[in-house]
Amino acid sequence: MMTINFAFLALDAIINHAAKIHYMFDGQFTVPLVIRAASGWGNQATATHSHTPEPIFAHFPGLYVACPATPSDAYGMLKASIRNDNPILFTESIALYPKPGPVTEDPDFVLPIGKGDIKREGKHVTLISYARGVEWSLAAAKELAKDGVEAEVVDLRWLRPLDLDLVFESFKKTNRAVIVEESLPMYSFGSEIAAQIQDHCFDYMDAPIKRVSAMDVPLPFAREIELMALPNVQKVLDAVEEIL
Amino acid sequence: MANPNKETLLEWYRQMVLIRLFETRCDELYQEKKITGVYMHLYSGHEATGVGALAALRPDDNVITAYRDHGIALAKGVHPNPIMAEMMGRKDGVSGGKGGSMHIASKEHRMWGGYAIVGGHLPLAAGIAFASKYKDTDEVTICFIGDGASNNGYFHEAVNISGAWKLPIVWIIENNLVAMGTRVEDSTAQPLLHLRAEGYGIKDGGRIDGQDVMAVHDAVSDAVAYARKNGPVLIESLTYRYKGHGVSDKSYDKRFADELEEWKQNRDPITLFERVLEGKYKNIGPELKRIHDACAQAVDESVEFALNSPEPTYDDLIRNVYVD
Repeated sequence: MMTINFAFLALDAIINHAAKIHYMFDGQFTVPLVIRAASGWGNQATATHSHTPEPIFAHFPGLYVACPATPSDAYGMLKASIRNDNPILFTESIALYPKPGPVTEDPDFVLPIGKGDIKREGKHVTLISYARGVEWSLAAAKELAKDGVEAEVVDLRWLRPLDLDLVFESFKKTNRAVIVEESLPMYSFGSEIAAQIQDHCFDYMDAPIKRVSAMDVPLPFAREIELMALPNVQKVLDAVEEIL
Repeated sequence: MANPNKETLLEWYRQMVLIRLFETRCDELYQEKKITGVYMHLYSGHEATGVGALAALRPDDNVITAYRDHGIALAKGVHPNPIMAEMMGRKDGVSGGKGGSMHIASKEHRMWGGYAIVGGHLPLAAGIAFASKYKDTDEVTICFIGDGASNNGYFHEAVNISGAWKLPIVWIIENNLVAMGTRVEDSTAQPLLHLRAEGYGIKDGGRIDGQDVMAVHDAVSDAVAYARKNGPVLIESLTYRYKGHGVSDKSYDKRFADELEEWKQNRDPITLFERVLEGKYKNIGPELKRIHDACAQAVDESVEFALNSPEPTYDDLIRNVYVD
């Protein structure tokens, strides 16, 4: 679809039908569907056209949710999605569209569904993210390195299936985490990751888990305050500083 | 005009009686708390529409409907045993006990299900018909729609695209005059629902007598033949339901008591068809009785089958969330 903002009109078809049919009829039917949707804030696109609602979709068992952060990942994940028999919401960050990156010419380059990726290795703090958040996290890690802080950047790539093992592995090494997401803070990706870390890595926690997300407001038109409401590299740096 | 032979007519009679007895027994089982849950939508009163319409299909043609689906599944040839087991949420149910009464499907019979969100199956129907066309088969899909669902946004989206893409589909509005508790004329400025066909540029199959199985079969046969070659048809089948919208609707019988009694006395699809058969074939009475008894026995067996089927287990709970 043109943008994910229009998916709300199709929520019943996506959630009540595409995501349920395989289970509801106990496997009689499959729904091999890939829904591609551009996601995220545009330039002053205003409140109804600036959503990043991937976590809403990831809430429902029966759907997979793909959120690539680089052109190469997008290629390998889309290949995997098309070859899979489950309904998959495949979101593409609008802000990342103009950012080029190398892509293989191999037509069979397929990335495994539900596997995240370490985009930068580090040992002092883990920045956990997906899609556009990865860009902010990598920029922040670069800044932090100037002060000798080595941040590890975990790109989950998929909100469902969620590669929690990768998160736990990194956290057990760094003992600190900041979750970076373009989406809203309430009942969010960040909430879920933070809850999972405290449950599974409690003895490894040296500081509170911090979250950087969009502000809890509808996005306005005026440029100045629109930018105020969104995450950025400085907000990630500030959050890291609080827990180091 | 089709001219079905005696054997065919008696098969339609059998299906109608089977549906009536099955539904009546489901109602009793619900009162006895052997069928549980808050939803169960009986097809009693509608039999001629479902049976007459599906008799116009080939085995490789498709049907999809809403939650009033047990009768449709029976008419498409699904065995009563796994349907009854599904009603009771048992492992041997058509959907392993995970779908319940509103989600009766059988891939083998091209019965794509029962769907519980009003109007939600209409885009699926268009999708099935699109697949038939895309794969260059000559299959047709029948999609049953309630009169209430015909005012839902999905109706517009799905019927419109079926017209634009000339999909091989017959949309049948089962107009039983009352959507849950709202009469058609209270929610719809134009109560002749079939007239909408013109607005979508598709063939208007007219309003037919949904209590007359032969009339339904004639009209739907023409519509199916047209859809197979040319594209969609919209038919409005006028019928009446004998019970509330679902088992939770306790006021229907009282609110519409006089009208309901009138339909039962004078427009019951099974009684009307019995009169036709008696007029057509001398001394058919004992044969009809034998068919009736065999259906009663089939329903008894389905109850026995369902009661003996195990409850689903934890493994069933977590199975088929995703395709492996």
